[in-house]
Amino acid sequence: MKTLGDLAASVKSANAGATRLTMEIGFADAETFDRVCTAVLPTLPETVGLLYGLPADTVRVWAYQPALTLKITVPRGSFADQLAETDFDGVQQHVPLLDVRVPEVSG
Amino acid sequence: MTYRILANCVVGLGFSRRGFDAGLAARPDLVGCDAGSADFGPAPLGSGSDPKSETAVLRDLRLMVAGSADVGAPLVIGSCGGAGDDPHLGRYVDYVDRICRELGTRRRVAVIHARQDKAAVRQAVRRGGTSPLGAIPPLAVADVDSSAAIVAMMGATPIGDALAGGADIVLAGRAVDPAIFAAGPMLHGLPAGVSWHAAKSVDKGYLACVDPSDGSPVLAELDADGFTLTPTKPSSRCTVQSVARITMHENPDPYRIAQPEGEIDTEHCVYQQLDDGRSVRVTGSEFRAAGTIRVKLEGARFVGHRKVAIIGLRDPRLLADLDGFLAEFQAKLARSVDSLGIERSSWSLRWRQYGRNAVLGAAEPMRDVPPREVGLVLDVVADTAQTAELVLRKAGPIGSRLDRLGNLGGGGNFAYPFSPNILDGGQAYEWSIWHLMDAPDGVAPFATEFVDLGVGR
Repeated sequence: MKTLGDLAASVKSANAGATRLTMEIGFADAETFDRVCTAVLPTLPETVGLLYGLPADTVRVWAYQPALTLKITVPRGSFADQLAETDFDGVQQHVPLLDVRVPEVSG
Repeated sequence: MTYRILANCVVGLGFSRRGFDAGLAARPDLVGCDAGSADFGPAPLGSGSDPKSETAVLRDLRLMVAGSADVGAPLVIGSCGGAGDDPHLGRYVDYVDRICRELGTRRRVAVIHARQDKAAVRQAVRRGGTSPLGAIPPLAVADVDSSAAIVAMMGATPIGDALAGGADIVLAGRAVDPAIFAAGPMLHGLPAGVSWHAAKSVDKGYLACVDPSDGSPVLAELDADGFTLTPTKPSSRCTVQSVARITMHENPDPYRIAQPEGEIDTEHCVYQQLDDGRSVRVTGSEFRAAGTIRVKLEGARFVGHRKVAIIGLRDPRLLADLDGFLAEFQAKLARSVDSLGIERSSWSLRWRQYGRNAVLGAAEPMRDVPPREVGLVLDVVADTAQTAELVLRKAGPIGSRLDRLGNLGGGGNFAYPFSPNILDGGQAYEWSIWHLMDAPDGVAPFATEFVDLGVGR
C-alpha cells in the first residue's frame, strides 16, 4: 500500500504562530489529490491524533483545492515548557505523516 | 484604475538584483518588504537583537531605498529588525539615514512604533480586552510585569495613515505581513478584498514563485476586480498552485486569514494561469471587516543565562540504558551542586538526545529503534552565567565518570568535539505573551513620528 510520502509532491510543516503547528501535503495533479482526499480525508483527524498524541477534535483538516494541498493544523504543545523546545520553526514535525497509508479507492 | 506593488521576501534574505530592476521598470506604485518573523523564537524580541546580519540587511535596504526613490514610489518596510521593537526600529532608522546620505538624498520617513507601554497592556488585561491566541492561558497582569519587551502587530491602518501623511519611506515596527502591502492600494481606492488578498499573496515575495531559490521579486497589478501576480525575473514562474499556496503559508486556515482589521476570505476565489505561462490572475477575493479591531501582542520574558555542552555517546553498553544513565547522572549532579550551597531553584538542566527522538519526541515513528550513537546536548539555564557554567563544569566529570556497569575501567563516557567544551548560549527568553488585544481604532497602540533622513533637498 502506498503512503502519503510516496504519493505527495511535497510534505512540510511550519508553525502557524507559537501555539499552532500546520502541515501541508501538496500533490502534483488534481487526480492524485482527489484520490488521496477520498481515501484519507474522512479518517485523517483520527489518524493525525494518534500520530501526534492529540484528541482528534483538536485536529483541523482542509482539502485546499486551489493549491492541491491537504492542510492539517494542530495545537502545538511546547508553550508550557518553552526551554525544552526542539524545533522553533516547526519545520520537521511533518515526518510522521510520511508513513500514513493511503488505501486504494476503486472508481 | 490600476495599482502596482513590487515586493520582496525578507530584508536580509537577499533577492535578485536583475529581477528587482525589471520590477522597477514596470513603474510600481509601492515597493515593500517584510523584515520580521517570530520563527526565531522569543530571543530577538527579548534581547533587542536582529537575527539577520547587518551587511545583508544593508545590501537589501540600499537597493530598495535607491530603487523606490528612482521611480518615485513609497517604500514600506514592516517588522523592522526582525522583532520590530524599538531597538530594532532604531537600527533601521540609522541604516536608512546612512543609505540616504550615501545616495545624497533626503527622504521623509514615517517611523511607526510597535513597542507597548506596560501600563496600557495591564489596563487592557484588567478591563478584559485581551484573549489568548491558541490553547494557552488568558493573559495575566503578572505576565505583563515579567516581560522584558512587548510589541503589538499593527495592521494596515497606521501604515495607511503614514502614507497619507506623505511618507517617502515607512519604517514600521512589528506588523502583520500583508499590512505592509494592503494600505497603499486601499488608500488609492481599491477594494479591501483585492488589496488584502494581493498583499497576502506578495508578502513572502519570491515564495509565490514555483522556484523560490530564483530569488525573484514579484509584481502584483491590482484593479477593481482582482490582481495579477508576475515574477519580475524573466526565468521565474508563478502557477495557480504556487500562488494559492501562499495564502495558507504559516496560517492555520487556508481560506480565511485573520488580520487586525478583519478577515481575508479566499473561499470564492478563481485562480487563472495566464497565457504567458508565468502570471496568475486572481479574482473573487473578499475581506470582512472585524467588529472590533484586535492586534496581536508578543511578549518575551527573560528566563536566565544559558550554557550548553555537546557530547557524543557511542558505547552500546551505555546506550542500552540511556534513560537510567541520565536519571542517575542528573541526581548525582544535583547533589553535587547542592553541596556547593547553590539553590536548586537557581538553575535547571534539560537535554536533547540527537539520534534518539530529539526532534519529534513521542511522535517519532521510529522511537523504539535503538540508536547507534547519540548527540547529547546538555542545556543549563541559570540565574547567572556563572552558575550555568559551574553546573556544566560539574556535569562533565560526573557524567563522564559515571560507571553504572563497572566496566569503564577509569575511562569516560562523554566524547567532546570542542575545546573549551562549554558553549555560551547567551540569554534565554520565552514567550510571555501571545495574545490578542482590542484596539478599537487600530492606531492607538502605534505611535508614529515623521523624520527627515539623509541630506540635501
